[in-house]
Amino acid sequence: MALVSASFSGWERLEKALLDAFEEWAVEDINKAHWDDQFKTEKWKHSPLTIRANGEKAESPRDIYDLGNLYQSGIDSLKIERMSSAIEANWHWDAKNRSGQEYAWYVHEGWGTNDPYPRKFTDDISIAASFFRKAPGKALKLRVSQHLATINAR
Amino acid sequence: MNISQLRDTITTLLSASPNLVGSYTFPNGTSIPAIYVVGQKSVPSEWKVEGLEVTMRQYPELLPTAGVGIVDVLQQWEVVLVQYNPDGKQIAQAMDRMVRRFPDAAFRYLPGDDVAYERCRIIIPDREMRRLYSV
Repeated sequence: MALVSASFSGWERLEKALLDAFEEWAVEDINKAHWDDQFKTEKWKHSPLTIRANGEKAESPRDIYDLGNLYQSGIDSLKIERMSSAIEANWHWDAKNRSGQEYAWYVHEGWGTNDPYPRKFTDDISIAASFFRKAPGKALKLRVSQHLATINAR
Repeated sequence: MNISQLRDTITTLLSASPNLVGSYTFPNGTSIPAIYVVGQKSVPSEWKVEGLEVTMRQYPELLPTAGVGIVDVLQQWEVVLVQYNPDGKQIAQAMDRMVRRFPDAAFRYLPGDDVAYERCRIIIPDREMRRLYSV
């Protein structure tokens, strides 16, 4: 006689593992790593030469860190809302230019003086079709499998 | 899908009656529809643009995932619509036609202001299976 059985129980633990994985991903993989990669890597095409407000010469490709205001506004804005069975992470790049206007979209979409050089620093996260093929999606999968493995180990 | 298929599809879609595509006028006065594939060069600055301009990147972004003997490639095409006449409404209709033809695309619309024209960036995903080792 062969006997096999399988069972599954403990939705709460599963749910908690998934929410923990997401929260850890948002804080560690995105806020502490992904934005650095987007803002501090010289990978964005722009005009051949710009003199920044701190006197630094920016060539092409360049980074979008500049004086760090836009970068920091995003990092500081991370808001994680954790509910009983859902979790949400939000970032808002609200740094303002000298006219008092938020300028994140000007950088992101290559608008105004940045025309025609969009620097799409949120695309890896915000475009659903390619999310799991890029670094943030892969990092999320890894966090989820690590947390699920912890449940199994118990 | 390749760039000529993408270009043909979009040309047919946006120039169907009523035509939404604007025009490029060369220095010698000749006009052609304002659809341009940006690759080795961007749109020559001496061309005069009127109405709605459609530009697309010649090469897609390639995001491969390897399988057994095959590779599943996600290609992402980028198309940009710019409304050069501020009183024009063609961009709204063009976005409407594009969303019906490419329902899984991501649309990024930006309103115009005193320095920039109204524009929309569209990212179109396109999956392809290819042999991992081609002969």
